[in-house]
Amino acid sequence: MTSTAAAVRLARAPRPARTRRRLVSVYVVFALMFLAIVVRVGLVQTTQAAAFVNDGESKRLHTTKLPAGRGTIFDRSGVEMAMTVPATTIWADPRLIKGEAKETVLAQLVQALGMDAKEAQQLATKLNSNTEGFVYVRRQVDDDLAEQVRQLHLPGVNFVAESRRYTPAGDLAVSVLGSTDVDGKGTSGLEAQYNDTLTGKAGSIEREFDLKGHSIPNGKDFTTPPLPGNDIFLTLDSRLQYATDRLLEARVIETGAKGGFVIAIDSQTGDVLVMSNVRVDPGTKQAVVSTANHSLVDAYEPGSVAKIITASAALEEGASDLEQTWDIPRSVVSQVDGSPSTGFKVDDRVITDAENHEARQMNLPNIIAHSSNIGTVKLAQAVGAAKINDYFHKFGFGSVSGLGFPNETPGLFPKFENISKSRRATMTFGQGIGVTGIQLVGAMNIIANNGTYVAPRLVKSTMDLAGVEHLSPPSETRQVLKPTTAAQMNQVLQGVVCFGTASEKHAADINGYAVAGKTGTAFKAQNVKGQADGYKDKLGQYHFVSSFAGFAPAESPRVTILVSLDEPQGEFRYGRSGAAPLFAQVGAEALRALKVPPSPPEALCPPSSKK
Amino acid sequence: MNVRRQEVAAARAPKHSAPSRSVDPPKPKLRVVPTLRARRRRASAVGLVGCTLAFGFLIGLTAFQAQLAQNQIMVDQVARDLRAEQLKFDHSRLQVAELQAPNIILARARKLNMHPAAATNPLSYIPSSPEIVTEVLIAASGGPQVQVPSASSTRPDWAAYKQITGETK
Repeated sequence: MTSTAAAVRLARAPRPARTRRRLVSVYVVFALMFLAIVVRVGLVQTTQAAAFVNDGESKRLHTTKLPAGRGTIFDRSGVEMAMTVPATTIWADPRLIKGEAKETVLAQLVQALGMDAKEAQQLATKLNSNTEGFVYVRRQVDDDLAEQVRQLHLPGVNFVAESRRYTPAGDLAVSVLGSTDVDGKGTSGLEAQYNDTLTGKAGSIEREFDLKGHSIPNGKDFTTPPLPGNDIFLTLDSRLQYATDRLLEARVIETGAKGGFVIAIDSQTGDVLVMSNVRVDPGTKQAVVSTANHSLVDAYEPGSVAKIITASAALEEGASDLEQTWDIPRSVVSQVDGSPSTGFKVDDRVITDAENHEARQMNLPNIIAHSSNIGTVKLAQAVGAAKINDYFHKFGFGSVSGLGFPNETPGLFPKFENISKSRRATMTFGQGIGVTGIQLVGAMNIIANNGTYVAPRLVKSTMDLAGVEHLSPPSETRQVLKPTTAAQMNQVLQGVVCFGTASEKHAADINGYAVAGKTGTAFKAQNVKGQADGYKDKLGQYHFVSSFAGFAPAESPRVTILVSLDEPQGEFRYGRSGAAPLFAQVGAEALRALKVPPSPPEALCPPSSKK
Repeated sequence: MNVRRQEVAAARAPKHSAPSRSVDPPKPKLRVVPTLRARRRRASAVGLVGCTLAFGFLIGLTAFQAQLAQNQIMVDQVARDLRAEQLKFDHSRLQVAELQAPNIILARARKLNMHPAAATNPLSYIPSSPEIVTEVLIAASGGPQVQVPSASSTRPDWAAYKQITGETK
């Protein structure tokens, strides 16, 4: 009992000062620690809050780009000619492919994607990079192929959904449609011209995901839907285009030409139904559809087809009528070297006709039917050089067609003041000027369309997202000839087919339809240094462009067609033998496609007219 | 000075008067106070109800969250389905486009042993029945917009033409 009391007394004894100091120190330490925590929490919640929120969001928030589909290009009947389809891009992160796995991954990718040695080498170089975190394996492959690669479960190989441009009919009208780059931007043709219309606006999905890739309930979820580009409806007829491509390819091979083009337009509206361009591949010697639109971007000397302008001017200006006869002097081309020897002299140049003949009299229909250069020059002289020059411009030469096609050339048409007298003479029959195919077919169409020029048109309408079709404005028109003059020229051009240069072997005949047209056999400029004659090559040989422009049915024209072959060989070098038969084939296809009824028998060439 | 202060203090001091017998002092209101046991029982009941409510609220909240999560899974599934259907639509559209392509049609036709005609011979109409001709032409062209060729328009008078050109054939 005594000891317990002593212990209580000891416990209640006053604490020594040292103990108190220790306690105070502990309090202070804890207080400081608490203060530090409070300060830290304060900082985290105030000044650093935004940074932490952003950091967290960046880990949870995933933004997926939603590519906007590029608009579809349809033909006049609504058949897809160029469209955007889903595709998958395969990419890899080389840093995630370790050691020996690189070779395995490379071998499997090469095999699955069917890469050649060069591609495989390029991929190997990419995969061996230790610094790159992103390299393309292959862009825009078919989904099926991508799925095959996906099933290989290769480390470091990833997939991203993209889209690619696709032409269901292969190379059909590729020279008109043009192309896009790998990012879907138009680089040539209509794809480039209408890039803004076709291009959509990309969208995105911003959503919070957990570590397992599931979206977080009540998390951020922003979706900006993509806006696809507008669709375009062309005036082209895809089936007619296809048939023409094949016919032109066959004709180019048959005639030994370097290439050629065909344009067919609706005579009344100017709608381009066919624009076919074919070139011979120098390697394979096969005729293939060209990616370049030679009928719009290349200018060439049209030859005798241009005589329709001179003759029209003569009728329109009253310088000649159909019956007036003109003295055509003797014309002989030297057989030794092809140089002109006898003919009609203009300034320093002797104009001759293609075929030798004695002096004779010809009226305007005969001059055109037999394609007399001398007669044409005489008609032009009767009209006057300045007026003829004006008519060439009125017919659309020397200026772009209005299609707005990329790199379309206005042709080569020098200022009147700068043209020599002899060149003014040769211009009247289509030598010494450069025109495009579209200009030439437009000029011929003036006669088919009762003297009214109608600008060609390639785009019929566009369709917006809401499905509303916006029709393209009607083609620009202007009256160039009086309807009576056009009707007279129509008859004159029917004479070319029935009695004239195109009558041989029924060259331009379309069974059941009356046809009007004009042949053209033009020298092709060579401009070889040291060669006095600009049309001769190094070997002293001439090269030709064979053309035929015409329309059908002549009594009520529905389609106007130009066929032009670049350097057909031998007997095919003439318009009548090279281009005219193809005109007849394409014309028959076009009239059938347009469901044009046949001409009345009285309108057809009389049976006795054919040679 | 001190005397004066004492006088003033005395004067200000309240004068105590004898309490009046007519005014009763206010009595506090009496109420029945539950017994301690009853109070405890009531507190227990309140606590129990509170806990039940809180528990129910938490259960409800959990259920709500579970429902949200379930809906979110459905939303994810719908998004996946949408993407799959979109892809299916794109593939179908592609197939239709390819089937409409002229080269495919021609290839199929050739497989079926179909070949283009060597020549086309259009039927000529009967010149003596212009009304019938007009009717047939309109029907053939699919609408009344067809331009029926008139006898006087641009049809050449071949006899006159031959006279002009001097053709003898």
